[in-house]
Amino acid sequence: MSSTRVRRHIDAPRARVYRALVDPRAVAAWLVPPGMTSEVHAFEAREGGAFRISLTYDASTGVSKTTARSDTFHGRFVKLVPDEQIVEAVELETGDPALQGEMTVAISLTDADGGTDLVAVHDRLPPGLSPADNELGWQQSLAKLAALVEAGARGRGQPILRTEALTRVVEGRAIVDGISIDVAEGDVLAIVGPSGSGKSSFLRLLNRLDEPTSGTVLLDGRDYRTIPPRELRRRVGMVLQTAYLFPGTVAENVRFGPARRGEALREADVASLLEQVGLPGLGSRSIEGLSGGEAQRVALARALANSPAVLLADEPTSALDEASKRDVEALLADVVRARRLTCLVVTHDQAQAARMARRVMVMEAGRLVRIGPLEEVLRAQGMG
Amino acid sequence: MLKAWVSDPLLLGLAQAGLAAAAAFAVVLLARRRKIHVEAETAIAVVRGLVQICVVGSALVLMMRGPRWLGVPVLAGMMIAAAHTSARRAKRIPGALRASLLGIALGAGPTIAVMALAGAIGTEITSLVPVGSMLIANAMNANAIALDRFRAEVQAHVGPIEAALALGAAPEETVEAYVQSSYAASLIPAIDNLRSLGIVWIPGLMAGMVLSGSPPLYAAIYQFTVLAMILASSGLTCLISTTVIRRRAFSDAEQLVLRPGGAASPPT
Repeated sequence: MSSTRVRRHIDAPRARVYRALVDPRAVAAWLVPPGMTSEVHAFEAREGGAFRISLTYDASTGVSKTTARSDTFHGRFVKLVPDEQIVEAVELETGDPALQGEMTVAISLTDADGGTDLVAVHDRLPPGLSPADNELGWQQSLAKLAALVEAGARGRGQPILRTEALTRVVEGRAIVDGISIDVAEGDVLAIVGPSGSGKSSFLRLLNRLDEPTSGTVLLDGRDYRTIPPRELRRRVGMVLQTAYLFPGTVAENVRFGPARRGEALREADVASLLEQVGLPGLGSRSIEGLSGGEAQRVALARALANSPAVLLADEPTSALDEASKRDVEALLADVVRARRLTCLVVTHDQAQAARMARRVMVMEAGRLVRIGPLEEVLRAQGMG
Repeated sequence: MLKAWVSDPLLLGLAQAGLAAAAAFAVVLLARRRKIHVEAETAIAVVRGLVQICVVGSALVLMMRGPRWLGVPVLAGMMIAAAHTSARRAKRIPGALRASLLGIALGAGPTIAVMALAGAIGTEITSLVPVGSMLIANAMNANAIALDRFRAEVQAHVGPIEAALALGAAPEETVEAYVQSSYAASLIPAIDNLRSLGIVWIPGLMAGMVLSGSPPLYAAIYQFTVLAMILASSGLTCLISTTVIRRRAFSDAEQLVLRPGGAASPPT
């Protein structure tokens, strides 16, 4: 589900939105292309409380199924609603004259490859926004919605990233040796260990720059070998020790990832990304003459332009001078926090690990020695 | 001077070959004083070269009496041998042999065919095989340069390539610049040959034709024709082989496998 992208939104009268809830085939008729499965998520965004109902409709078979799940939304537990009560529940809300909040139905479309797109249907615009005067804000509200759909679909407790006995053998030596870990969404995990312990090799397996000899990685519960590599690498972004910027301008570098999929970032998006990495207005600058710290910031913006769900950072500051080291580290930590990114950062610097991460994983000779909350691991390592 | 003592042409040839080989060995001995040891390699190359060319010479004698179509399998065999030789330059690239064979066969093959149809190469074996082999040999050299350059470029740019892959770029696209520079490098010898034609060198083919009594101007134009054919077939060969090899530097899962030190990961 984390491949969810808001592709288009449709303004529709509330009646039609509710109709979508009641009868998924009605949705299918105007939204679902043949061969795709749709899942309808309904939100009632009043007072920050939300419920979710899933209606599934398989356009190829014409079979519709309505499910309601026990779920939390907006931090609240929402009671399981039996299938047959859903219509009633919706009607109940419709009949409520006090209901003033905007209603949104988000529908995710899944194709045979498991790729997902999100279509959001609104009965009205969020207050103070119109598509004409604030398209960016509008897009962001949809993006937020997409995140909620994802969070809901993932359910409680399922890790966004899981490695299962992940192993890579090179020339008879296991450089990554049977590592199984879970990383929850929004978690920041530092990977530490002596040089040659397999930290970077482990990281390189996570976006499949290298092939595991055995074991696998589950991304959102899905074996990553079933995800096309380019799609996987878009969702699992990476920042390396060296920026490796491409010749051209800063903006061209930022646009690189989306352009590979035929998506052109708008000026405003580029500007916003550059602002987020502390380089406002630098888009037209050539990459020649950027300082190491600036180059690394551009590399971060370039990775973020792909809207990854997971960010891998391989010694992101170790090639920088002391001053920019702390700057870039603080920036990375800020961005990860602000975007609620799931992040795995390899570092040889214990202090950096402590500053950036909530959880730490210690590797030695390709093996996982210890993983857990920061303080616990540092204490166990005799470093606390 | 040798001619004064040796009258049999075959013996004369052997004597001349012996003299040339002796000159080569003299250089090897000189190199030895500089502590460069190539004696064994040179000895093997000299003997091997002599034996091979004698075998070919004898085979030509037999073929001259054979049917015309015999030239085709002979050239095909040469292409396979050329592919083997140039693929050795790119041992680390999986599928280098296949790419080389495709490149040479589809590069030199059609050029030879077109030129034979145009009458620029005679279809009798004594013309088709030597001129064809010139095209194949030059395609082989160009191909070796292209593959070697591609390997070196990719291995020197693992960082940028993987940075692009990590952003969701297609493998072919990440090495496009290196394919282009390899291709350009592979054409340098053929282009320089044309450029310096007549100024720096008078090629063997022309020299031979003049010696055997052809009008010098005709020999000169024919030599140009051959060099232009060489450029065409080399260019086509490298275009094909680099296009094929481009994707072979990556695994099916779009991982760069052509990296320094084989398939190993970089140190952590």
